[in-house]
Amino acid sequence: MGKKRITSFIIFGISIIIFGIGFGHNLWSKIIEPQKTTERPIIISDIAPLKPLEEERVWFYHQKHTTELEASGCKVCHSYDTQKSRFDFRYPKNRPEKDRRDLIETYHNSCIGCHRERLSKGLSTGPTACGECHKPVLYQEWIKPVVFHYGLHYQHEKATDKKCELCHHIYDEKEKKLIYKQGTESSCRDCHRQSDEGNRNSFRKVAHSDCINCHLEKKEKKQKGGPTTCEGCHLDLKLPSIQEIAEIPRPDRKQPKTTNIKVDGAGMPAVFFDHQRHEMSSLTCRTCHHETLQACKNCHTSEGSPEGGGISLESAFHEKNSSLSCEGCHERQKAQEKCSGCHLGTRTQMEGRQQSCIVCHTGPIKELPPIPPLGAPEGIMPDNVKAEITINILEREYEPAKFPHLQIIKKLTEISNEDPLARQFHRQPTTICMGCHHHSPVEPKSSPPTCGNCHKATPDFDDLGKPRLMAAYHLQCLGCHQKMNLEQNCTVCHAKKTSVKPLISEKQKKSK
Amino acid sequence: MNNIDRRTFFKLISSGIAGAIGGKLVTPGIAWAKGTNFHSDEFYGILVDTTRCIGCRRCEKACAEANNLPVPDINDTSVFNHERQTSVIQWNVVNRFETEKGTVFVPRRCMHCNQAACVAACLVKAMKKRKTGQVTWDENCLGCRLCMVSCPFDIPKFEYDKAIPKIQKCNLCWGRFQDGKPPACVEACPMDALLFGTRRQLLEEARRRIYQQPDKYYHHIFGELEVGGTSHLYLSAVPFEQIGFRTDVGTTPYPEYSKGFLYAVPFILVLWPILMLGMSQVTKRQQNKE
Amino acid sequence: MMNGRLDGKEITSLSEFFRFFRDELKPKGKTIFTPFNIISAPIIILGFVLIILRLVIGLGRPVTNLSQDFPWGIWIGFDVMVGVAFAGGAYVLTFIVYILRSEKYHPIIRATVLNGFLAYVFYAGAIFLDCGRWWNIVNPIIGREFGVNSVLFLVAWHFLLYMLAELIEFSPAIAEWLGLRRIRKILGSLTIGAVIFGITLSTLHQSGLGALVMMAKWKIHPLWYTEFIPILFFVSSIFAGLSMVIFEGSISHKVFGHQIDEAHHKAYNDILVGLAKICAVAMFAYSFLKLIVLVHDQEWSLLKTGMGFWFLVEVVGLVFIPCILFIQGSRHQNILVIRIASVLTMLGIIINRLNYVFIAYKWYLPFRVRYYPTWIEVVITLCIIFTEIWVFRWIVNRMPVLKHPPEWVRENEEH
Repeated sequence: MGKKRITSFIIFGISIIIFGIGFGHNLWSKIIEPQKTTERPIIISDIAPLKPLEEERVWFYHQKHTTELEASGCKVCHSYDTQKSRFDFRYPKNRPEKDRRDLIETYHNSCIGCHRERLSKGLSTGPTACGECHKPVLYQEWIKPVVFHYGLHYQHEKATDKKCELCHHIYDEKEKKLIYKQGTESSCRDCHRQSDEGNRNSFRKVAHSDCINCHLEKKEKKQKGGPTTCEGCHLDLKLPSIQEIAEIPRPDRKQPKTTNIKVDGAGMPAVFFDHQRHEMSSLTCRTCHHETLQACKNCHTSEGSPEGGGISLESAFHEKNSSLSCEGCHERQKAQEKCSGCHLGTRTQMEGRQQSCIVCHTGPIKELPPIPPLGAPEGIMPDNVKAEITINILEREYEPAKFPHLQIIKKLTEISNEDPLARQFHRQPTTICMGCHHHSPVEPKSSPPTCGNCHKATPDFDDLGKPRLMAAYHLQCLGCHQKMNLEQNCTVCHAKKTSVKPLISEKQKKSK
Repeated sequence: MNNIDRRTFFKLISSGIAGAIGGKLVTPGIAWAKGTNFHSDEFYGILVDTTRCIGCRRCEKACAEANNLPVPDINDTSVFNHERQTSVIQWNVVNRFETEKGTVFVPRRCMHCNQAACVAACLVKAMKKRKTGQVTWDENCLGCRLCMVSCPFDIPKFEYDKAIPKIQKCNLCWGRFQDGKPPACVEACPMDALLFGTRRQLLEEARRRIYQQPDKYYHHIFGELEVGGTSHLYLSAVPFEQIGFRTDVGTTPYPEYSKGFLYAVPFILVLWPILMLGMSQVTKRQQNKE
Repeated sequence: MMNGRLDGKEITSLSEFFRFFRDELKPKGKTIFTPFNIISAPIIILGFVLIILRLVIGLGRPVTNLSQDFPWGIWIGFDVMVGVAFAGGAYVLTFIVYILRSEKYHPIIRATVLNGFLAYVFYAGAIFLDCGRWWNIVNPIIGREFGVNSVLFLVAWHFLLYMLAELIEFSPAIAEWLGLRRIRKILGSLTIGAVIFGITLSTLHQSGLGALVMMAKWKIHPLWYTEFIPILFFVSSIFAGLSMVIFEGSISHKVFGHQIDEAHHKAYNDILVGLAKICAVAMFAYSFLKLIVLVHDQEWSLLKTGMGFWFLVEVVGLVFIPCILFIQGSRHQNILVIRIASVLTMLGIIINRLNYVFIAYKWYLPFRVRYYPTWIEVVITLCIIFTEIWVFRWIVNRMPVLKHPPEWVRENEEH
């Protein structure tokens, strides 16, 4: 062979290799477009426990398959136990759990096999090439966890004719089987956790198998039943507000109406706890009983224990940032629109926490004493509460603002008086004043300092935490208005002037 | 004077130079306006608290008024429909982002990095990092645009459409600073979303805000460590990539990336000639042998 | 045709020089309307007009397509970076001829040095055109302030100094042309110093051109961005320059063949084979360096993308394959293969440098905002290149570049 020929063959060969790699790996930049559907794919990576993955995990669209194969039903992919009349929703059918190679092959035979079959029949089908399944896709998270609120529970009570044993069970260790014992009904999650533990399946698995199977049964029998599709539970169920389920009877498990919570050696007086009122102010038992229906101190000991996740009893009651603690939930009530203006929006002067302890720690009592509502502000401080204040210190771009001082105080007083939780804590009229008047004394018989007394027009470069006057006004006012969803348009507070002196004047510019 | 000898000449020159240097050390560099307390030896900067910004764009207007740029119409809210960059006529732009915590407005401008890439890139020191932290542009610029290639935030903008082009970027109102005034945007902001002070004070204020209101802020001050630290610091309620920041710029100051090469220069300048002279001698000997 | 002062008489006065120069300006050859002239002359004239336009109205559209996202275009990417890489033949060959004293490449050294000198002069002109504020272009040299932290400062100074070094290296030919014997002797003795100086400067500014983009860290695709960019630029300048020598030499030998004597023609193939071998070694080293960078940065998964494919085209297709071709060509004395390889290499260098400037630079931006050169930029680039070729041709036709120096140059002085 001539030398020129060898050379040309080498060039040809290498080019082929490069192009081969290119096509084989879809190098012709296939841009991954976010999927048009909002379905969340199921990420298949269950080979992982057997051996580290070598390929990209498969991102699987269940919804595509259910819509396409709706006529054939779930039996196409999932095995149906005719004896128990239940589906086993594990996939693939008869999957070998031990051997990795076998499991991979079973997946491939099931998925690709079906795709090839449909392809040969000319039907629309999924991919058959490796890289088309084993690749990540973008999706929009839509899945909402299902909150089994009192409304849903009551619906199920009626539908099963109050046969609790149809859903509630406990596991008998001795007999090694599931039995029903009245008085032990609890949340599923009490036993069924995040992941499989031995022969106790994960909550996700049992919820899907038990709920869907029952719903499917009803559907077969053409009876009224729950949803059988993903979005039926995870998307279409609307979470009701507390007011909407206020009339719905709560599950009866012989729980006490009120109680006194006393902890030996805690050093604080007992807390009067109205259990029934709290039931009516929540959506599910799990709002507070997040793991089990037992009393808090059974798991959360004084020092903290493994059952309680290391959280001591004191923390369990008082942790401000937790949604499960008493104080945490009360804290979050402050985030309601009507409360958040003072509590989250403005720089409020907060009373010391010590004063609010006694609101709950009353010592052992039979019922809460009534709290009188806050009176009209003019009645308490007739001379000091100005009706309207004109703010014109910084007048330049806008007309002076006319601040409706008394109107605001009256509205806030009204809001406080109407909310029972607020009433418990707002016992002094000056409490309302401290919503805006901060870092200064607020006493019934004297006027607190105005904003401009402390906040100056020019910035204070030594105390950066203290805004200058214009910012102080806007931060305080707009802070409250933003939180309470009130008017935030500039001209609502002060009208715009038609001719305005510029901020940076010509004289200032020249000195640059 | 005609017969000045070399020794005397050198004495005169060196004493002249010494006098000039000494004089410069004694007299202060910048005359501060009365009534201000700006130090002359600390970095100044701006703390931008995006949780306070309401998108009124008065900072854009004041910046344009103070720096002889065309004044934008701040009543036009359609500009928020797309994310804007600074431009040759706007040193400061406010962008709007919809995030999980609602609408966030973010004013963007030059970050005035502690170790600015543009300053290191400029071969005529047209980009200068002042002692008080401002990065300013000067008229001895060549227009080579290496600063644009180097800037990790893509800030310097070049006036391609002018016959006498400039590089346009925020200069932290260097002129006003020398008159003892804070930047125009800071003065205009009605919410104190822009806070002017020394970088040290601003960092403490930022940390204080995060500490006192941990739910309100994302626990990170953008510009504290990014690219070795910048004079513009940002606070946010949401992670910074959601409001248009690059969070992959790293904490290494950008001039360090060309440091490796620059350090090699003196070595090569010295070693190469010696090596080659040596080789030349060796081959000369070989040649003579032949 | 012997002309000028090569017949032995020296130029002794300025007026004599002017007369001589005026005579030399007259075109040589049978006709001025050669195909090359017909194509290049209009472009050159148009180019000069456009250059004036650019100086008057600035760099904006319609003159260039530069934008805030793409501040550098083909004037920096092609004229400066590619041009300087191609001019690297000068320092490599002067190293081989004057330091390693290899007589084999002596016949082409003057042409290469002349090319190097002209390249730097004209590409400095390209930088001048690219600078938005060109009236300040002397500032890095004689300004008030020097940005010594800047890589570009180093590059600017090196360009100036390197031009001087190349001029000194080439000046013996000018002296021979003017018949200035004593000056010729002095200049001859300066050659070795200029060569050493030139090689040192070249090493630094070839790698310096790469170091310019070191601060554009996230803007350059990770397959191209590495802390070893300066070294890669330096190594690639070796084979870029030599490929250009091969390419340009092939053309020169055809065009100026009448100037070259029999022995030189015969030796030329050997020269080409030798250059091919050096190229092959440098290209092998470069490919290996690129591989090390790939392994070190663990960027294998990036090869599966579109840009990864482009990277493979550049490195495997236009560096590794020409390397193999050079090896084959040199082993079998196959000049055609060597020439093909040199063209492929040059294409690879062009793509490599342009990648750093506007292709792999901000590769993530969509096509509609990307930079592509305007016709004006292309015409001005061609104008610069053609003018350079015209000047090169003018000099080669008059000065002893490809032809032998006059007899009065003594043997041991001959450089």
